[in-house]
Amino acid sequence: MTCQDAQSTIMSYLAGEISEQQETALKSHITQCAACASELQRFRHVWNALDTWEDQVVPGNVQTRILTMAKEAAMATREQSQIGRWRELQTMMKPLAPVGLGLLAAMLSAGILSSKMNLSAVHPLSLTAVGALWTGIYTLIFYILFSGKTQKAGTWRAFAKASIIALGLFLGFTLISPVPDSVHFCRYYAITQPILERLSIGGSFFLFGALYALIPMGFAAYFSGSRSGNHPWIKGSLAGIMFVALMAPSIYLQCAPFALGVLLVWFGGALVGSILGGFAGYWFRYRFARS
Amino acid sequence: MDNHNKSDEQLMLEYATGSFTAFEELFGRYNLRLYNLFLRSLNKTDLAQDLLQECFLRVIQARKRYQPKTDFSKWIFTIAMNLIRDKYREQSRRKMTSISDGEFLVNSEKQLHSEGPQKDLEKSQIKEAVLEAIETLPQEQREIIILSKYEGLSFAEIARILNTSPEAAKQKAYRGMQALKKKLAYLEKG
Repeated sequence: MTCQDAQSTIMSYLAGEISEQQETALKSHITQCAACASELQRFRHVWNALDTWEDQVVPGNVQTRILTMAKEAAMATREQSQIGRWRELQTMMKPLAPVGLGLLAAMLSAGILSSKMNLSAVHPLSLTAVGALWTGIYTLIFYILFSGKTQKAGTWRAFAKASIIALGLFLGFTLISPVPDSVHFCRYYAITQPILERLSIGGSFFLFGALYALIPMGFAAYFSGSRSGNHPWIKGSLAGIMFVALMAPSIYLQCAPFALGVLLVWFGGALVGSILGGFAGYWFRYRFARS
Repeated sequence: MDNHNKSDEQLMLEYATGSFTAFEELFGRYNLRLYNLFLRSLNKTDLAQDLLQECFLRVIQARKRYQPKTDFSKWIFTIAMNLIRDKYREQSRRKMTSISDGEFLVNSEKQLHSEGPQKDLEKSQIKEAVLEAIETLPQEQREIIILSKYEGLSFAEIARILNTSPEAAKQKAYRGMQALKKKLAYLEKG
């Protein structure tokens, strides 16, 4: 080991970072070199003198201040993570909301129908299938209703809203007087009898099916048609088709005691009435209530 | 697992998720070391307290950005050294404009040299002499000697914190020790 090597090793020696091999070499060198031995001794003396500068304890008030800051930050983090978890749960549950509402709406609708007609005529399996189908359609409509915030999604939301309002009105009418009861009543009522006499039973169901769809759909499209504008036919048709889809299970259940032909003509009437109602609602809104 | 057995990095991650006890453990491990690092570097109690608070505040604020692959010790000492360097810069600016600070330094130098060899130097006097001698060292030499001697960091660790090589750090420490040796030569005779 040269004197230069010894000098570069001295700091490692003092700091306790020296290898055994280097230490042996350094010790061997200083036994032969008085200058390096003296240098090492002086360095060691200074190094030891530095020990007099002892550690001081952090004052209690400073410790308290720092720990208080840290505690508040930890609490804020926990609160944020709880909010985050809640939001995560909300996001996770969001797709389930239309399903839940769909099921609830289907049960409510079936409840309204069962209060006015005897559903025991419907086979339990058919009833279950209709219930599931109705839940599915409602779910789809609610899904559209809660969908994104884009302009396009907003237009579809307006159709979904109109169709749900229309179905509410339709079920309200049904609660007052179901279509078969109305057909029956009008066929024998003095004023309406001459008109309905000219129609077959199928024609009567078509007419009533159309009226029971047109009136609610017209009102619903008018009152929810804030996005009405050009193309009321297209808009009316789309909203009307949604409404018919929502109404279909109800028509099926109400037609249970009748022949398949009645079901088909009623359904046809409902489709025509819905589209006409949708068109009329949007057109009137656009024409007379533009805002 | 008990907090005592956890690594600094693990504790920091736990603190980032809201565990205050994890911070308490980290604080316990570092507060004394950092406080004395600030004290020895700046030699002012109030400044050391402020910087200790600032250093932990930065740790608290950065808790969510902390990456576990970052060596916590290196990270916190880097924060501390940056704070010290900021303070040095601030002080050197002030020294240029303030006569009183300049006088303090000149007086310290004079006192150190005028004391000369003294017999029966008390420990507190040696400490005072050491403190003043260290204060006269160039900034980098002083930092390296403090980090090595008092913080027990290896030259490799110091080099990482100060962005230099271990050899360069060792060299600067050597030069600093030579300067201290000259300034404190009279202690040997005492």
